[in-house]
Amino acid sequence: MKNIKKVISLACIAALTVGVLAGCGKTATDTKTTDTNKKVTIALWDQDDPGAQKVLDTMIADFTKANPNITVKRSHYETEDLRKNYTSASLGTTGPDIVLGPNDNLGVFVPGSLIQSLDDFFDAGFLDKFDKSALEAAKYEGKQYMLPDRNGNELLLMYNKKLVTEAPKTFEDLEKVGLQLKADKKVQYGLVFNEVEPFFSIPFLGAFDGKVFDDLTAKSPKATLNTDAVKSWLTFLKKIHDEGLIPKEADGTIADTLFKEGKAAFIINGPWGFADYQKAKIDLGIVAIPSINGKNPAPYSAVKGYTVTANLSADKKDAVKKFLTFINSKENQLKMVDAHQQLPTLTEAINDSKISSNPLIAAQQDPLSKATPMPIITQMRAIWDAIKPVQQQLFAGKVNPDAAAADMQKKAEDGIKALGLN
Amino acid sequence: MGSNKIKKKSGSFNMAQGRYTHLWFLMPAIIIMLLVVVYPLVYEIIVSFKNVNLLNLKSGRYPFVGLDNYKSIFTDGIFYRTLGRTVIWTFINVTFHVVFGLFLAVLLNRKLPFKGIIRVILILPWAIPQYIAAITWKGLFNFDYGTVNIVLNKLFGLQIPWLSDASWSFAACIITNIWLGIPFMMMISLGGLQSIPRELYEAAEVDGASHWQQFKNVTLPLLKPVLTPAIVLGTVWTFNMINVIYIITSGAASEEAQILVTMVYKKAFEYFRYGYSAALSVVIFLILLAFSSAFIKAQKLEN
Repeated sequence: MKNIKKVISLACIAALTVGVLAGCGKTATDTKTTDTNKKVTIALWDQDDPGAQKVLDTMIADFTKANPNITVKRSHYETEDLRKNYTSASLGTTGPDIVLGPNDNLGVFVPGSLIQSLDDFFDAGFLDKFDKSALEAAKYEGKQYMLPDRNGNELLLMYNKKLVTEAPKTFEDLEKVGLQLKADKKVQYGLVFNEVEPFFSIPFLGAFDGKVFDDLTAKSPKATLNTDAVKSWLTFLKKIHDEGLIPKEADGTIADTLFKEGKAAFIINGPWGFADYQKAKIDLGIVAIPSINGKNPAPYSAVKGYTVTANLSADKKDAVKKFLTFINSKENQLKMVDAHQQLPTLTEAINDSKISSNPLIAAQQDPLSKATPMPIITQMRAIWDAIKPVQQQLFAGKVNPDAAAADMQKKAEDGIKALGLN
Repeated sequence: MGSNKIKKKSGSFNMAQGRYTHLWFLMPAIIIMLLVVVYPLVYEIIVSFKNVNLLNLKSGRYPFVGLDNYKSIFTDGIFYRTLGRTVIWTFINVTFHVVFGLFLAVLLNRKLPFKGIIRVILILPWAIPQYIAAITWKGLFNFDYGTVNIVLNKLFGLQIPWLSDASWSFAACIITNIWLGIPFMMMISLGGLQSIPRELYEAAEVDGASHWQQFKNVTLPLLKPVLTPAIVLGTVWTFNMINVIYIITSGAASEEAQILVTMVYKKAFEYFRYGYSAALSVVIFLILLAFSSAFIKAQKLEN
């Protein structure tokens, strides 16, 4: 009996130990065979809106039906999480094969050696089918690192046609109308936008001829935040805040909610908000952000697209190529347009009547023409991080525009140094 | 026959009664602790002596830089200001946690109607995921539409810029974190209170002690063995409370609302300075280790 007990207790301990260690094992993917009929799984990470995610899923289902040996696993991540997880995943083997995200990710992915250039990835002539300016925006250091699928991301002015009958021609008109509506108690605030993220206040900088870098093509671009242009921009922001045109405090959610409930007449947001506002039954008008003192604001435009992981195994390369070609066909790009309401990048798709007959997209032509490409270099992080807290202090009335500009410049310079660049 | 065999092997292989049986039972837990706690800690200490950033992360080749990361931490004024703020943050939070938690526990320890329901309501802050609670509180602190300002306005005619002013946002974080941390202290104190025998209170009453004297001389000393580990835990958790700060300040962009651990997070994942963040994490670890040892020793000495 005691022998059996010994054996049983030994067996239990062995089972426990094996159970513990089993959980620590890696699932290695077999990369030895190149049999094209072998089952391949490609991982796609996306940073996209819920509407676009749904469309992606239907397209993935279509693709899997046509290619039964390829499985596409999609995971969604928000902006910061995507970067963090991708850089961490580069140390192991469980990262994504394709990432769908905005082009400013390139400033992180390329120095981190996470992605490969697509100049020679596709068959000859494939890239020529795409819009040249969109491809340009998806280049980094001269190489095509991203295959763009949409062009836009620009901020524009939307207004509630029930409250505002005519689109304002200048920002001064907007101010008058907004403040009047507030005085008449027809709205809580004339204009709302996300006052926390500098992405939403930066368009106004363009109206004062301001730029955040001196020369983007230089080897070490310098931050230019302590300039007269920036000071004028900050003075303008302080004015519209203190006079009550915009709320004392508002993040993206507050701005959206006020506009959707008809409590704000104007909102500055991007095309990603259209679906939401239409669902809230707002009669939407869309124009470019009107001119300030005769000069047009310059929101940042960007492209979103697909990047391919650097160390892609040979058997996955074909699957990835097939998938990306499929998902950027004319029909599929037009399907995605329903979700993101921006311009597609395949020239054939851009010229399709679906685009020209869609009022929401047609209305973006003007704002997009006034937009300037968003800087995507790694140093841009330092700029955002410098503007964000100082803008907050400016709105809180704790710093005046001159001191704020100097503070932003110092923070940006410190940030660029902290990135290990100069 | 069987028992003879076992007698022979008794010193070396009798599993059930051997000298090392307890080690075998601890093995699974030891292995997990080694992999999940010790290995990352050692790796982090190693990384803190190297220069690891975005450019060389993937290559795995990290140049050894000795104490450079630590030097840049200690020569940066921000470190000391943030450390000071973190200490203030921890001290205020833990003090209120213990005071309110103990107060509520004393109340709950009496005969109360609806005690079950009250206890459930008081546990709610702990039951709600921190992330959700922080986002909800952030909404409550909005200047125009948040409940806090609406109430303040009706009562005092005040409206505080909780979220737009960096110093006030720090106060908002403190309020939220106090709300989040009270249930834990309350439950620990309640458990401790319920283990104090009634006879001691009765004896004290017979001796003519007032409620306050009873509390000071009977309750507090007997709660100490329960409160000490709770305070150490609470201090460590509060010192490293990144969720509340990060969410309410929308990313801890402003220096006036940062604590050490948000600095680590930003430097690691937004600036990709992994070596520097590892060094900063080691510094935080050493600070908390020193505090815990000192605190526990002080408590033991008092006995």
